[in-house]
Amino acid sequence: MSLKATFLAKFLRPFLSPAVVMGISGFFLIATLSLSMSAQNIQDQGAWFTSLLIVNAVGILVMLVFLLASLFRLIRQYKKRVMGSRLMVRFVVLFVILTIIPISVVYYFSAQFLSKGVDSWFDDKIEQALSDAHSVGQSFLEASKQSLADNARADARQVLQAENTPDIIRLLEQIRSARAYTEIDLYNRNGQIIASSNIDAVSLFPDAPDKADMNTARKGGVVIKLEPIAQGALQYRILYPVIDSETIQGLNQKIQILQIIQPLPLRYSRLGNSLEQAQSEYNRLSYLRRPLKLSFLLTLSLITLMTTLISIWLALYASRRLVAPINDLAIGTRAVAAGDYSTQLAVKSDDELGTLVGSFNSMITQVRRAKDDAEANHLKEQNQRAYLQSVLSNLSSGVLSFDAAHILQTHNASASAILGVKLNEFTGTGLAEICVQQSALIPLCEHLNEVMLDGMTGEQEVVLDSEIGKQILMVRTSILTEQDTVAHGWVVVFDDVTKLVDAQRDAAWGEVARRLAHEIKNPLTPIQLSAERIRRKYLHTLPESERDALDRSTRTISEQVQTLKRMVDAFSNYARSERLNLSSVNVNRLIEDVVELHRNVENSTRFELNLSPNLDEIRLDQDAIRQVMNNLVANASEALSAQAQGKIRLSTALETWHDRSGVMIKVQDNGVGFNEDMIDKIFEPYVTSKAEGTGLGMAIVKRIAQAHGGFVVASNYTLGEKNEDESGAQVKVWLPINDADKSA
Amino acid sequence: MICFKPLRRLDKVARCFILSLFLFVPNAHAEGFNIVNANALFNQSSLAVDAQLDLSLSDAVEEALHNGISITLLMTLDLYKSRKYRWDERIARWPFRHHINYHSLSDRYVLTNHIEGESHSYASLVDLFNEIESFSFRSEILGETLPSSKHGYKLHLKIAIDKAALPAPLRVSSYIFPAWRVKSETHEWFIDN
Repeated sequence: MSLKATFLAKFLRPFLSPAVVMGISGFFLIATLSLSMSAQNIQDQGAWFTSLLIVNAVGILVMLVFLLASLFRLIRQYKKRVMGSRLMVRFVVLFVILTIIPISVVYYFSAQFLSKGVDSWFDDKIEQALSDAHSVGQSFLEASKQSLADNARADARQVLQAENTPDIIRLLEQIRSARAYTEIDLYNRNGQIIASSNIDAVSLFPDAPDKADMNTARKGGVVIKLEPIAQGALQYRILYPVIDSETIQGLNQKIQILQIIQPLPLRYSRLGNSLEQAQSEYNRLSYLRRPLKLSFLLTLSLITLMTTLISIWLALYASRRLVAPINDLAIGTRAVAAGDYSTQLAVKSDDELGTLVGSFNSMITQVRRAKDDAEANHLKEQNQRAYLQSVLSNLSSGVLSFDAAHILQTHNASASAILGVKLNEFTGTGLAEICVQQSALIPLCEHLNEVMLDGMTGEQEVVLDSEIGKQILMVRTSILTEQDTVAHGWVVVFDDVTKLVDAQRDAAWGEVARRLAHEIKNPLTPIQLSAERIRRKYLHTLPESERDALDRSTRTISEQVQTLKRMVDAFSNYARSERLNLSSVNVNRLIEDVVELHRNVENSTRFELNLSPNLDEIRLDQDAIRQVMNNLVANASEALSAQAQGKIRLSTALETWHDRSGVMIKVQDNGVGFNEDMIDKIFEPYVTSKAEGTGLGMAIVKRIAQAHGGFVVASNYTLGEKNEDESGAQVKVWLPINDADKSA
Repeated sequence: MICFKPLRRLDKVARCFILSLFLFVPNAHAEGFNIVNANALFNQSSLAVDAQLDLSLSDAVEEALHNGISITLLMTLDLYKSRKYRWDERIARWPFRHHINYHSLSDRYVLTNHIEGESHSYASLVDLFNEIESFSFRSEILGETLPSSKHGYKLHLKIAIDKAALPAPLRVSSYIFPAWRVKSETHEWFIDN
């Protein structure tokens, strides 16, 4: 079907161009007009009427083919939902309705008018008059026949009395002349001419009667008939049997036939001819009334059909022309909707549709320019955003931005790193919700909430409780405003100043230690030497009763000096800047060595090791880490000194901290745990719960851990049912594994 | 797709209409005129044809005749040169026309020979047709003008009402209504060289 349709469309397309169809339509319209004119000329239409009918019938077929081709094309487009086909169908239906209705009305009334118009040509009175005149004429002729018959009878009697043929010829000549016959003939029974007399002397042959008439006369019948002859004239032909009465009864009856031809008098002949012509013409017209109506109706139908077909085709053509710019607009709009702003439609007319198409082109041009500008601005904005992101990403400070509804809008990587929270997951989340999910950030949230509610800006220190201890943030808040100076959001910039504070504190303690070492340690040696000299010089010189006092005093001085020296050395140790001597260290083995050392000393304490077998050697300062472990185990042992079933649990594990892998060393005891009041300051110098402690052990542990890039956390722990509700103090030391350690 | 149903129906109606145009062929059965027998004598110089016709008019034609319509009988004798692969070539045509009129005042039928111009009246159509049912034709005009033919010649004889001579309004009806299709079958002779 589609192949046929395609072939038909391709075949007919050259013939379906508007110019061709308009030309053909014009030709057929002229043919239709000619047919109409020819149909109106009843007398003369014969020459062209039939040809014009055929031409118009062919025209209708041709137009029908064009129309069907166009309709099939339209239906195919409609089925394929081609853009504009639906609108075109509506237009065509509308146009066809607007065309068909008036044409049908005109056709109906024209047909009625034609029928009644043709009928009006005929008048019953005229018809009756003609009929009556015809009857009168026939009556007159019948009356004339009787007179002719009487004459013929008399003529026949005279012929019977003739003796021979010359007499008969002479007699016929006399009768013809006397009665003004055109011709008088005598035939024998067999139809052979006996004698004849004609008014035309040169006429050689008589005007023979019909065989049927002759037979009638031969049987004794009289034939009298009126005959039309040339030039509308009429003549009587009488056949009268001439019967010899003497032979009437025999088979050899002598019968002759007398034929008399007498023209109707010229006056009567003209009248008769005129009457015949009038009657004949009227009958002819009356008879042709029905064919004439049919002819007119056929002409009218052809004209109507042709006009209708041309109108429908023109409706199709006009619809296509009308829909074309709308279709172009629809296609253009669709292209624009699809993002193609380069579409420009051809302006084919200077009417409103042309103006519309021109406006569409202008609009698309402006839209394209606006889009180009928007894209350029967007690109510029993207570049600026990328630049800003780059700047923010490279900032060591954490940056957060919130909108007016306290919703987190942007952040940088440093913010996530400092806060230890994946802020990507909280973009678009409110500040309160963030704090609900990240309880460690509550102090920061409280501060920000207060600042945002008060609309204040400024700088403040905020301390967070993180897994690695206190985290000190220096938070600066700024209001985002635009031209209306109304707050549209806030920018929060913060820095982790924990290390800075620690460094400052360490530096201060280092300075204290250095001064102690310098100011205290230097006089200690002379004091001790002086005390020993006094003892050596005066011990034996003093009386026995005073000797003990001297001995105790000098010994006390020496011991206290030694104590002061140890204290000063410890401070020196703490104050000394840590310079790591890295080497590959097996942490598990190191722990086992330390534990073995303490196990020999602390017999009452039970050590429990839970070391990870997955640990490889990592690069550490072995002595420093050994000191860390010694300090931690010593602290734990001291805490368990008053406990009968003391237990120290040491464990190692691979743990990742802020995307960095490391070793987590955990030292737990089942003692009373840390004092809650001191737990925040446990790593500060001179913080100790022991009577003889220097308070530097944990501070040194922290310094060594931080020097390795790790951290140390002290806390109290409680284990569950499996360990019979064991609790105590625990210290976790996390040391990073460098990439070099992994490759090694 | 519901909206397409009327279009499909219209499509079917259009197809049926077109088909009906080709199916609507008027009854072409010949009636009224018959060529009972015919003989032809043909040589290079002369042609003689004798035919016996059987003529009668349909009621519709007789009605028209009685209403003053002149009926023309057209007898056509065609001579063709036979050709093998192409249509035969007509060499000569002899048309014979007889005009028949009805004279109402005398109640007679008038036959007029269009060549001789002579008129004769007859009491009935039977008498009139008896006069012309015997057809005889003699022609000496062929002579050397007759083109030679490898495949011989053909003669066609037929008689019919001359519709072109009818009044135009009636002519349309004569093309439409079968009662006016009064004509004989074409009688054909094959003449060898």
